Amino acid sequence: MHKLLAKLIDAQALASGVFVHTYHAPEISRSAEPGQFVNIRVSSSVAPLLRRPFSVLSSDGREQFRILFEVKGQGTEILSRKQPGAEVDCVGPLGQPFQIKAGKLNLVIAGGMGVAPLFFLMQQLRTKPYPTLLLYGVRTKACLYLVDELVASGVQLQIFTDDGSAGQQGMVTDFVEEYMQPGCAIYACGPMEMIKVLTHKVHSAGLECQVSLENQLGCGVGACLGCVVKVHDGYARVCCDGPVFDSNALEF
Amino acid sequence: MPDLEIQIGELTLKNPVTVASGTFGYGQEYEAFYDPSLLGAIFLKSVTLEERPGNPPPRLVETPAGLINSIGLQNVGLDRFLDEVVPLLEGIDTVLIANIAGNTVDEYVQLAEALSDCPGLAALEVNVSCPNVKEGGIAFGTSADMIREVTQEVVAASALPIIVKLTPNVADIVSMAHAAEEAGATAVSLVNTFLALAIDIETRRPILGNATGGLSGPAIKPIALRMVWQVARSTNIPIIGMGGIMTGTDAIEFLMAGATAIAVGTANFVNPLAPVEIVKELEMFLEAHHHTSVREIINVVEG
Repeated sequence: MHKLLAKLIDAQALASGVFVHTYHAPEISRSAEPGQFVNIRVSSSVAPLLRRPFSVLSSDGREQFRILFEVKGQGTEILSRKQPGAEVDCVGPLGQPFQIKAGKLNLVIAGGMGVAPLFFLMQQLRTKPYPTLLLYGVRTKACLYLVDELVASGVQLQIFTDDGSAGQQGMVTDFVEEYMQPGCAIYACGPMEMIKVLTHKVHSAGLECQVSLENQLGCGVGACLGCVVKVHDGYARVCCDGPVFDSNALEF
Repeated sequence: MPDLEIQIGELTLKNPVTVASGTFGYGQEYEAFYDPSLLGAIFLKSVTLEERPGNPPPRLVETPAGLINSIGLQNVGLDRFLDEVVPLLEGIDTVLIANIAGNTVDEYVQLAEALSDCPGLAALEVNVSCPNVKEGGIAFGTSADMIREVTQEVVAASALPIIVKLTPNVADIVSMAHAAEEAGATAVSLVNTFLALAIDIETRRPILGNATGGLSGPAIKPIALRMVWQVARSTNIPIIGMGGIMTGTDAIEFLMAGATAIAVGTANFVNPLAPVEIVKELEMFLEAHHHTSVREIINVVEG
């Protein structure tokens, strides 16, 4: 874990209010693993007060890492206005990464912006012998991000949109059973409702999955006990016991 | 180099910059950023007699320049604290202060007795101010009589110096500090968090799982500072000042208002290096103003 000033070297707007930032920060890029996050202080003032956590979208393993974010409030709005050259106060990499499991199929399930940590995961799964299938669910076609990069990387992709504007109409969780098979390794990130439904279906099929959760963080390093979620034997901290959890540890 | 050492009763702190209970765990979480031995003291996360799971989430709400929390004293309980936490503290070369919270006077006494012989602990902080638990906590801290009783009993039960952590959620903070002083406390910590609420306007419900929580951060600093100043003017008990301290300037204000030491809380979350940066800024201020000791700027505000 490092606290450093990461230099913003590229800022791309993928859509209105959706950005990919590329940062130069060798210490973080070398050690970041899929599922981990960086905690960014977007302003040196107290508005907003707390850091903002972002999943690592990708890392070149040497110098640069990327994040994907949507402007949701004051913090992301300030971050979105930063220009290349800006030095950004960054703590990371933080949290528990995905554990890459040997399965006949890697079934990766993304809901909306939940694609971010999974993108990094798929980067690493590419080096494994078994195929990767991404089920990518979004509200509408305009909310699909990084599809070209995903396709170019050799990932098989199945898209779901609520309004049918791309791929299959419906929610990814309506169809997930069709894609599950014995011995597949399942990884997921998305809205809590999606994670709940998905986990139920995965468990009903006698399988398990790893899920990456989002929460309001306090310290980001495990000290404040503010970001907990319910697990079978009490509460677990999203920031350092997660954000990636085995689905069978969680209580919904 | 100016002398940063300060004295709180029989406790000697290498500098007046400490970290507040509940914001620093048991010291391990911040070791990746700096050596916690650089701190004047560490106020450890609260320990209760029995294990406490803590409050249901959500436990945090960010507010303008502030943070509302309702952790609810989640901790492993006394037995596991002694077995599992105390060994982790070995090797941290600074003043370590346990924070105890009870549901009854007797529970405070049992905790004080059990921790008195604990190797490595230099003092006990008595939490009579947690806003997030039903019994004990703030229920004790809003009555001068209860503060007096708890303090007396804990002082009698333990050979360690006793620091009483007061809540700001009272009409007259001075009378609370007086009660602790009269009952034999070595110092008071001022202040714990302010009872607060945030509402989700879509669901028309409180955001926090526990409905209310405690507000901390820069938003409360001027009020905390005023309380430290009031208590310093009316009592002789040493004060550990806290409430929204983010920078060296904030810390110096508290020292000038009458705090002998200060504690950094919420700032740890924002800038994990805040406490060590504050030590440096304090040193630079003293040098720039030709002070040879930090003691020269404690309780110097006139008027």
